[in-house]
Amino acid sequence: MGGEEENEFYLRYYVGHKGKFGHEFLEFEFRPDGKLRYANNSNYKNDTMIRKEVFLTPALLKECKRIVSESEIMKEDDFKWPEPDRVGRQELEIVMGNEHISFATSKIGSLVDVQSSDDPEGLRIFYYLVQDLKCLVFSLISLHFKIKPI
Amino acid sequence: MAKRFTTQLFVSRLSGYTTDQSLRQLFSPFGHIREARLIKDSQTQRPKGFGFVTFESEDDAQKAMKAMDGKIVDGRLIFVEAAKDIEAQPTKVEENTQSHYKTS
Repeated sequence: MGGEEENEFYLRYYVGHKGKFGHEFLEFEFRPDGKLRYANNSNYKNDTMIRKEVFLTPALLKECKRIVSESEIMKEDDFKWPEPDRVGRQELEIVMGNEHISFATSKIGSLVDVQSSDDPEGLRIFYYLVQDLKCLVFSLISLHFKIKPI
Repeated sequence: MAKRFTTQLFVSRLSGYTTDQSLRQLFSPFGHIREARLIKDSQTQRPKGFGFVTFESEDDAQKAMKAMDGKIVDGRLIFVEAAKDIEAQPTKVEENTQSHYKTS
């Protein structure tokens, strides 16, 4: 078997904007040591940052890697994707083995924005991957932090 | 069965010159008063023309209400009614608001 670097997995997703209510953003990060960090920030009505951290099992990390590799996002490029703008910004950074991607683009409102872009195929992959990752992360976070455990 | 707050009266249409003292004096003939207070404007501290009178006994409160509702006080016709239950007070409903990015 090869060295540990070949199995390295790191993923960070950020979506946010700056506006009337401060720097509102959502960010989550899967770290190589298994820690999932989550942050959701807004100053709306003087609100503050929400931060949560959990450690994930190897089985879950494996599943996350599977989601990423099946999406084939590692083959894409953000060259033709819309630039981040005043409305907002998305960032996706993934290290998987010896592959590394770092994408930045504007917010995607719906598939209409995907279709009308200069790289509908690539952006669609990004769009659905982000949905899947959010689904996974929100489920993990909400399961870990129930106020009244089941 | 809901508990009715019948020791407390809501008095309205009072003159602007009314004070907590004069309100108490107005209702004291009917029995012992636990509390008599006018509602004041939070910024100007001026009485808003209405207030609450709380009696020790329900009977005294009922007597006072019957006697004083619709009476002329300081040249003005006042209303006296049973104060509504605390739970029945309309509470400000927060508009549907969302802060932070939606997670569900």
